[in-house]
Order: sequence, then C-alpha cells, then structure tokens
Amino acid sequence: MFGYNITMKEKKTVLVIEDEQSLAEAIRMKLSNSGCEVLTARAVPEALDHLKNGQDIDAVWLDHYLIGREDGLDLVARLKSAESEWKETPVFVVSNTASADKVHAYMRLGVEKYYVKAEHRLEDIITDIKEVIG
Amino acid sequence: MSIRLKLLAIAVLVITPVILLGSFLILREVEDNLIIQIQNKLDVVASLQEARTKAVVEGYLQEAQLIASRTQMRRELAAYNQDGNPSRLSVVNRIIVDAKTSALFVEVISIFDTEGTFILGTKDLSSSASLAKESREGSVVRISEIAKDELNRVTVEVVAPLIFENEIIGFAEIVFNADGLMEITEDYTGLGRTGEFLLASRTATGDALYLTPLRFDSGAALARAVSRERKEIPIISAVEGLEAFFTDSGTVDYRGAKVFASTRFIEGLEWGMVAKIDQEEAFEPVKQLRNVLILSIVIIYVGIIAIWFFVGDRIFVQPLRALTLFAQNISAGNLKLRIELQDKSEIGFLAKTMNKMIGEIEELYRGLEEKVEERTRELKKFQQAVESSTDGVLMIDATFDITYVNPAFVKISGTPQKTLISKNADSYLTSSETPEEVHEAFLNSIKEGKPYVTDSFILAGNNTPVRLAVYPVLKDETQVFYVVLVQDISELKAIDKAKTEFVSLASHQLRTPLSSINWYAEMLLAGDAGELNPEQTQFLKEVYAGNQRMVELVDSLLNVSRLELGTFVIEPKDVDLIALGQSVIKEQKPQIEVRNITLKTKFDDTLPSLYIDEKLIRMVLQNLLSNAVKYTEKGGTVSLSIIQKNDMVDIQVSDTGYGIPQEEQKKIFGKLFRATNVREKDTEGTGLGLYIVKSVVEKSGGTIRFESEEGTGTTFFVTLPLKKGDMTSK
Repeated sequence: MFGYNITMKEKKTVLVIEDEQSLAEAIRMKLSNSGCEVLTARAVPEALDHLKNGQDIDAVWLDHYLIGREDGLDLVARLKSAESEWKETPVFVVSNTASADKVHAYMRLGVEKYYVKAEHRLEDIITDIKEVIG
Repeated sequence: MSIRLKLLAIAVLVITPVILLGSFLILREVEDNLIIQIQNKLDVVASLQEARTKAVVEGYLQEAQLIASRTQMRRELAAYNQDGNPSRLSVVNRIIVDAKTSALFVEVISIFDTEGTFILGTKDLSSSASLAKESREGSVVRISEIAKDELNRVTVEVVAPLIFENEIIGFAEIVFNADGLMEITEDYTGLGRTGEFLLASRTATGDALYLTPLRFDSGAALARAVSRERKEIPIISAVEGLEAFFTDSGTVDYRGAKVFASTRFIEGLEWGMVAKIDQEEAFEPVKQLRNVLILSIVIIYVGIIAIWFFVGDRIFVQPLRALTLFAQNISAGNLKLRIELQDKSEIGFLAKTMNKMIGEIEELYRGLEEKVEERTRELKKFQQAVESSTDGVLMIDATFDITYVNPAFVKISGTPQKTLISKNADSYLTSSETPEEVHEAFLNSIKEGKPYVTDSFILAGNNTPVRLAVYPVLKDETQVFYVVLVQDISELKAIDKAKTEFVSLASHQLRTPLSSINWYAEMLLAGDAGELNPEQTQFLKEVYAGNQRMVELVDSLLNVSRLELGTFVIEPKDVDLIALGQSVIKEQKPQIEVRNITLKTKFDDTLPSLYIDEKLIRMVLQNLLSNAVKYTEKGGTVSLSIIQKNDMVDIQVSDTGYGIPQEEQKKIFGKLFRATNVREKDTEGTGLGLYIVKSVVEKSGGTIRFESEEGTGTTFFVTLPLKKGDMTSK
C-alpha cells in the first residue's frame, strides 16, 4: 500500500525443556521479559509435540535430567539426526550436571553451548541465546 | 677308503717296486753269468774243435808226406822217367795200393808227372785228370782242393811233390775223405740240442762255403754258402779272420735262429770255424729260473701282503672297529658303556681317553637332567599359576600370532582356544568398539617394543571391557614375543559408571535448589518483580552471596567426591599455559583493583604448549591466585611466574600476605582445613581448594610445594611436565 516493505521482526520462540517447575518459571519469566515467546515442556515427548505442532522454534533450552525415561541427550540425538527438520535449530544445554562424558556427548551431537546452571546468571545465558538467534 | 684297503694299498705300493727291482736285478745277474758261462763253454769247444781240425789237416798233410816220401816209389818213378820201363810203374802201383790200404781216410792216390799228366793211380783217371798248374807250384805238401767226388762225398785233395835226389820227379795227389773232419763237426758234445761246430772256407768272392754237412742241413757240405753280406752270421766273421764271441740278439745262424757263437780262423787254409748254440737253448736254464723266480716272487708277494694285512688288521683295524662300534653305541644314547682295549699304543690311549670323556659327559648329562627337572618343576608352578589365574593371559610371537591363551582368557573373551591359536593377535583382540586412539596407542607401543596399559580396551568376542597390559619380551633389542594380560573390568566399569552417575545425580540434586535461589535472587535484584528499596537490595545481595558460597562449596565437594571415588577424568590437550594464566589473572582483576594489590607477572615466551587438562589446570591457577589475592593485605603484592625448567614448567604464585603458621603447614593440603590465622581474618574459604589443587597437580604428573612465613607471605611452587604420554589413559 505504501510502497514500503515493513518487515516486522517476529518474536523469537524458545522452547524450554526443564523438569524443575520453579526454575522453568524463572526462565520463562526472564525470556518473556527479554522479548521472546516461550514454550515449556518437562519431558521429551512433550517437547516433541511442541516441535511437531509446527510452531517455528528458534532455539531450544534443554536441561539434561527430565521427567520420563528419556533424557536431554536422547532428545538432542533425535533433533540432530539426519532426517530431522530441526537439525539447524540451536540447542542450549543448561544443566547442573558437569560430568565430562555428558558434556562431550552433547558437544559431539552438535549443541550450541553447554552451561552449568549454578555457575551462570540467567541473564547471561539469555543474552547468549539472543545473540545466536538474532 | 677303509683302513683295510689303505693298508693293502700301502703294502702293494711299497713291496711291488722292491720286488720288481729285486727280481729284475737277480735275473740280470743270472743272465749275465749265464752268458759268461756259455761264452766259456763255446770258447772251449771252439778251441778244442779248432785244435782237432788242425790236427786232422795236419794228419792229412803228414800222411800225404809219408806216402810221397816212399823211397822205392820215388826211385822207381825217377827210373821210369829215365827209361820209361812200364814194369817200374807196376812197382809204383803196388806201393801206392799198399799205401792207400794202410793209410787212414785215403780214398785215391794218383801219380802225375811233372807236367801234371796222370801216370797211374788207384783209380783210373787217365782221360779227365790232369793236375792244375797252381797245384804243381811249390815244393810243399798242401791241400789243393776240397771237392765232392763222384759219390757226392766231400774229399780233401792233397798234392805232394815227389822229390828224388833234389829233383821233382812228379806229383802225388792223395784224396782223403772228409770223415775226419765230419767226425769233428758231428761231435755235439757240450753243444746241447741246437749247438754245432761249423767249418767253412772262404770262397774267392769272400763268401763262406760250408765244408761239412750241417746239423740242420745234411746236404750243405760244399753246397751251401753264406753271402759275405750277411755280417750277422758269425761264419762270415770267422772266414774273414775274426776270432770273437758273439752275444747280441742280432747274431743269427744259417737258419736264422738267434745264436751265441765263438769264431776261429785257420790261416793258410782260409778256413773259418764257428762253435754256436741257440740263444734259446742257452737261456733255457734262465727261463726255468725265471719261472721259478716269478713263482717265488708271487708267493712272497702274496705272503708279505697277507702277513701285513693280518698284522695290520690286528694292530689297526680291529681296535679301530671296536672303538667305532663303541662310539656308535654311545651316540645311540647308552652312556653307561666303557671300552676295554688291550693296547699299549696310541689307540689304547685313545680308548682310555674316550672312556674318561664318556664318564664326564655322563656326569654332565646327569647334572643337566637334574637341572632340567628342577626347572620343569618351577615352570610347572608358573604354568599352573597362569592356567588357573583369573586374569586372562595371552602370548603372542614376534610375527604377532597368538601362540597361547589360558582358560581365563577364553572365558573373558568368549572365543574358544582353537579359534585363537595361531591367528593374528590384533584382529582377535581388538573389538570394533575399542576407541581408535587406544587401538593406535596399543599398536604403536608394540611396534616400539614398549609396555602398554590401558583400561579402555574392549576385547573382541564378547566385547568385554578389559584392562589390557601388553609386555614385550625383548632379547638383544628385538621383540621375541609379547605377554598380554587382560582383566575383566566390566564390573569395575559398571561400578565406575554408577559412581559417575551418582556424582552426576548428586550434583544435579544439590545444584538445582541453588540455581533456583540464584536466579530468583538475580531476578529480584534486576528489578523483574518491581523496584527494591536499598535495604531489600542489601538483604538480597547477602542472600545471593551466601548462595554463591554454597554453589562453590557444592562444586568443591563434588570435586572432592570425584577424587575420592576415583571418577576424576583428566582430558589433556595442548594448552597455552601462559594464555591460561593471563585469563585467570583477568578474572581476578576486580579483586586485585579493589584491594589495591600490585600484580607482577613473569612469563617465559618460549614455553611450548603443555599437554594438560585445561579446565583442571585453570582451576589450579584460579585457586592459587585467588588465595594469594584473598590472603594479602590491601596494598600488598602478588606475583605469578611461569617459566620452563628442563622438561618441566615451573609455576610460582607468591604473595606478601598473612602466610601460613609453621605448626599448621603440614595440614594445609588437608580436606576442609583452614589455618587459624585466616579464620580469624574472617575471609571466606571452603578449605577444600588446596586439597583439590594438590590432587589435580599430582594426577597431572606434576609436583606442588610451598614456602611460607607468617606475616611475610607465601610462595607456592608448582611443576608440570612438558612432555606427552606421562599419564596412563583412563
């Protein structure tokens, strides 16, 4: 109509997969405050549902220990498999376990970054995510 | 060649020339002697026969002379010559008849006149006879001719002049038969079967004409002649006047047979004589002797050889045979045998020495047997130990083929022994699940002949996780074989996994509520729930700070538990230590500035990168530096130096702070220990830092120590190795 193409910056969506409810709440609050859409899940099947729903997920915030049989590593394996449509989606693993083999496993699967929860400020992590997804 | 044959050869070689030479010399001697004998004999015969011949001839002449000198006959003839009275002739006739009868060998007496005309005789010759002129020359009685008469008998005609009162009144021709001569030539005494005495006269042409019959040619008398060209026939030399002995093999007689000959010559008559004998006959004794000699030689020869053989056999062959047999028996294994040889010579000595030697070998053998038994017993123990060990034992040869597996290995790997033996070790040891770097390290160590131990090996077959240790056994710098020990650590690994899992879970459980407090406090402080008043802010900061300490404590405790449980993992990689140091300093900057601390650094630019776990060493540096800063008065100095010293890197962190009291220095690395002086100063600290630092440094192959004086300051000295591969991978 005007001849201008106004591209509105769409709100970025972050899928937060965290089993601790209080923590999930804090994360959600902080992400929203920084201008992101937030989807939450407490287990792998839930997370997959969100993904399959078709919503454009720009980043994944993933804890290692989750509700149910499957853990974060299983999800990442699925996300990063050859046929997955979410292969390119950056995954940020934020967990309280720091065991080297887990870190290695995640890094090998191709996650963006791995944070030990207790060692980082919420704000810092979110800043990193925003940097990556734009 | 056997000794027997050798002995024989020696005998033959030595004896044959001797015997040959000896017999040759003997025979020569005999022959020479024989020839001399023959020569003598023939000489004797020749001389004798010559004398007889001369005698006979002399006889003829004398007889003729006698007849010719009959006085009455001469008177009557002379008278007849005067008056021609025929009755005178009958007187003469009567006388010559009488003479003929009484004389030997006379055949015919004939009287001739001075002109040579026949007057009368015992045989009537009137018509044909006349006396040759040459015969009428001279006044001596001589032989005029030798010829055959009408009966083909050899006759000797002698002419004797008849002399009366110094006047030749006529000639008498007396014909003798040659019986006298033939008697001589037919006398073969001393001449064997083939010898004879020859009589020949020289003809006008120089040839030799036989006068009497020959032994082997009865018709030869006055019929057979030998040409003067035939020099090899002695009769020619004889009629030429040569008196000699002929022995060489070229000398032959009238029949061509080889002869020995002795020649004589009667001058005046020009008669040659030969006493000869066939060489063959002459040598008959020699031949006989030769045969006897040969037989004797052969007998002696054989005899000597037989004796030599026999003797040699007794002296050499038999003892040697005995020794050989003895040696064979010994080498067949029977060391108890000894040989008894009655021999005082070197062979006997050899036998004695051999006995002694066998005795020593036997003893040596026994000694060895004992040693072998002992060793075998020892080995059996080892063998049993290996066989019954619960650790898998595998032996690999230099070409990397499996030569032995014990039952434990079979159990651990789940592969039957049959399948494993003589197969390539690598293919049958390494499962595909073994991490590649472990597999490579394994192969490299083997190539370099170095021992290798790893806990990360997965054994092919069952894919059992094992602790694998390879020990090459070297001999003179080359690998002869390898011993591989495997321990099933699946349980250990499971335990490990469980421990790690525990720590992981524990840390998660501990940190989760801490994270919650952290973030909510953070959000409150950030004003996400509304504006705070200063007091609220203050309280929240305390909450936040307290929580941070809690987080640090939990971290330290988790590290400690990892250290205690042994699940600490070192992940080395190439690290720039200086950059690390600088980064750690940067972290401390706020505190340094706040406390107005002077920072000194000394970094060795030529330091190569270290093969270390970055996170852990960072932790070490962080700990030491933060301690240095924390425990130093405001305005003090903290210094960090990182330099290279031989194969190590030397890190020094020093401060001018409170120092560590002397009596508490021993405990400083202990868990949860905090020195009294710093506790009084109210500084924060978990007391776990140095414990963790020491463990990490030591696990990284380094050392840590300190020097400290209360009130002056502290310096920590940390060394870390520069080289790779000083750690076992876990």
